[in-house]
Amino acid sequence: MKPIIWIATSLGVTALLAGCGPKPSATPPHGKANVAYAGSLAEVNDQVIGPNFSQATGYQYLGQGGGSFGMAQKLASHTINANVFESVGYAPIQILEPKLTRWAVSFASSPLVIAFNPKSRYGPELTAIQHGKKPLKDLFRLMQSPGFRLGRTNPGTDPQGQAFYMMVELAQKHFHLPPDTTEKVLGAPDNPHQVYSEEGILTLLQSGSLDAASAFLSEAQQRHLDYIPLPRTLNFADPSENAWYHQASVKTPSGVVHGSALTIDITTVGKVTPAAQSFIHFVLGPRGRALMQKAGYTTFPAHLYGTRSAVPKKIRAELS
Amino acid sequence: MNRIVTGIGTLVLVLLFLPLAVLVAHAGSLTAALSSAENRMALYTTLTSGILALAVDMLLGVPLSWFLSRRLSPGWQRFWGTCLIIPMLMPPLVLGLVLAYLAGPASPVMLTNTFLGLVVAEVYESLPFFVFAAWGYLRTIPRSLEEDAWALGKTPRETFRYVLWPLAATGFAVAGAMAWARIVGAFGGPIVVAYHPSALPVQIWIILQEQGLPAALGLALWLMVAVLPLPVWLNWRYGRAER
Amino acid sequence: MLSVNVKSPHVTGQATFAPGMVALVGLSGAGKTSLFRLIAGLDIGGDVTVHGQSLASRHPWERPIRYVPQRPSLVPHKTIGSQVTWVQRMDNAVLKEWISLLALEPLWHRLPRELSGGEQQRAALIRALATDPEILLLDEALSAVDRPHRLAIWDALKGLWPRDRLLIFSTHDWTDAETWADTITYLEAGRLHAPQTARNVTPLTAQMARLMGFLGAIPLTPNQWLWLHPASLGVGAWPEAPCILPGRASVTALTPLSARYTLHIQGRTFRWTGPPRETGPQDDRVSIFQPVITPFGEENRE
Repeated sequence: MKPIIWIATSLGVTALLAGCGPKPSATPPHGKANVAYAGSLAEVNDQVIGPNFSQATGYQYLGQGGGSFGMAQKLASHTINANVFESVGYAPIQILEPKLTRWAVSFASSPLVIAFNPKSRYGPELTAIQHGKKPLKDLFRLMQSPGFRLGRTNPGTDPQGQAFYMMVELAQKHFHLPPDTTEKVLGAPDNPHQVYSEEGILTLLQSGSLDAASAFLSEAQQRHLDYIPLPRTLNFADPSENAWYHQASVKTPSGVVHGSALTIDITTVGKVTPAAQSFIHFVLGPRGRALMQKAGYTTFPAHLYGTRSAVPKKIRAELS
Repeated sequence: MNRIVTGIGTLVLVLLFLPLAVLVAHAGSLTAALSSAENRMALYTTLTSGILALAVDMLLGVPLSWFLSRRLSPGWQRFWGTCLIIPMLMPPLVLGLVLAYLAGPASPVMLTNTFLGLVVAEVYESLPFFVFAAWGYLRTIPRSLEEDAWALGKTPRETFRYVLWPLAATGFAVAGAMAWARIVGAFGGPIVVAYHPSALPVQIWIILQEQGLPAALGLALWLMVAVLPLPVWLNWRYGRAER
Repeated sequence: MLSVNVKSPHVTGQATFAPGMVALVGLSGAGKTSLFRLIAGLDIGGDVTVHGQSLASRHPWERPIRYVPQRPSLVPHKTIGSQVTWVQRMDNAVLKEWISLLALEPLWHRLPRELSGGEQQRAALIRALATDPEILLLDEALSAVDRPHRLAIWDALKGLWPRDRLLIFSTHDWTDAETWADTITYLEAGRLHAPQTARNVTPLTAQMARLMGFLGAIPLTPNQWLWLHPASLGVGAWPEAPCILPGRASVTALTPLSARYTLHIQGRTFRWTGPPRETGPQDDRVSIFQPVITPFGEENRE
């Protein structure tokens, strides 16, 4: 197919001109970690991990973000170029298997919270719940109020959207709420009155179009939002609670999804380059963990998914 | 010199149509793209909201461009011409973020995630382009055509209908085609304020994440097929008025 | 019928016009178009009255005045027939007559861009006539029409133009003005001079005299000037009308750069020296002089 050759050639030329060819150079310190990451990791990667990694190892860092599934699809179809992929949840990485990778390591998570706008009609009650003056249980009644404007992301495309949906299911169980609670709070998984894009949802919350919205703790901290923290049993951040999370499920266009901790999973993409290996090594190491924790993430001992033998040597050392 | 121009022209034409060739080559099955109810709905949403947005563009843009080109002194025209560039330069995503405030509590009706909100986002993305294009065209209609008709005893109203409208219609058609392209491609605004009901660009974005690139490109091809007839018709119908 | 008292950057002066055909004579840039635009109401500056009523508050389309500009003024995207019908108020039969007089039948269904310059001017004229105007302003409206057509059209206008209506046409050609107009009014450098009867016009300025075909003037007395014309000589004093006198002239070369002129008139003989003539000797006609040869007298009226 001729056009494709053209594109490939022009891409190659552009890359040469820009001096950033995808091939790493022979001398390691001049390579580049080209990291594709889930949109919610933009701030911590570009502002914190990236610069520190470059300083510590001498490798360059380049990041690009987007929805986890979207990034995975683009990596799989080679429309974007990266040698490291950092996703929320293991599911997006499975899209790359087995061609581009056969393993992933989960090492951190960002607890799910409910961000809210204190100036909203429900601000006082939400604030009371935030400060523990009212029980968390009340939140699920409050969210059923007829005029309550709740925002969440699309379970079809966003792991956070799935987790939020299942969180309400688990809360119903946990607090022994009436069986129609989930239905009343959320409606259908793709309820058009609640589902917004990841790009827009927190802006809408800040602008006052929403009373409350699903968010990761890290996002809420970065944006200085008011938020209601959730216990381990509801925040989808603790892999040791996976059995409990698994009891909830949500139906998406691509099938039924069962709950599991929303871990941050990292892997290499395609040929493993020294820079890519070094980046993952840095993130999993003590320095990386400390930086992640500072940014609102919970870290835990690295946990391997997939084929152990496929993991590059340097990284395998980090696995307990 | 002529050869160089011809050469560059040909090359650019090829480059311009390259994306379309890639789209056709890589799009998944067209029928598969339409087999999902969501995709059909998105197509329907795009067409209905788009036609509504285009109608609003015309309703607001025709008087405004007329006012700018006919009722303002050249100095003010230059001033507003420069000012009009500002909304045109606003990146669509930024527009979306700003619209979040306008569509939120400030608005008398809640617009976020409503059909109306989608139309508003599409209008904001396209209206400056409509006005700019229409105004640029209207400015080229000589003032003397009106005066000549007045001097024959025809009122401004009669003059508008008989003399100016047929000429201006070409400009409005061109501007309408341009606005339509912006409307159906509107993404930055809708992704923030109107994720639902999803118009095609947002739906393509969703499909890309759910099902991958070939499915998304298949739907993108439908976007092209569905939105092409209107500008083609406008061009054919009004693009030939004698000057 | 029509009085104008204008004061604008481009033209000033006042004049009153009686019904009939009026020629507005002036060189290019004299302000003819400016004056017409003021009368038509397209520009403002001064007062225009018709039958004693001021038109100041009336828009162009509310005035009993129709105006055909010099530049092409047809609606570009409509056929000639369509636009004539659009403005038509004239009786159909009369219009038909005009159409055939102007030889416009074959052009009826054509667009302006398919017409030559002269054809476009003919079409613009019929469009204005079709409005059945009380006052019609033609701004060099037939300048591009070929000579046979032009003469026919003027003939027809002269014959058919209603006695109680006013037609003002502008021209820079004195012969046209003299031939077709009842009244001539002169415009120079934005100054509008009072109308004069076409048959008996006194040149008011040197430029007007030149335009009228006079070759020069010779002072007879401090207040009297002899006007030299190819066809006649005029004796007169400003501002009185001249009398036209027949005479004989002769010229003798003195040096390559000068010649002696002799003029016999009413038993008197005038002699003067000037630049040599350029044409062959035709001693009985003054027409051998080139307009530039003879200097005009002192123009203390300017």
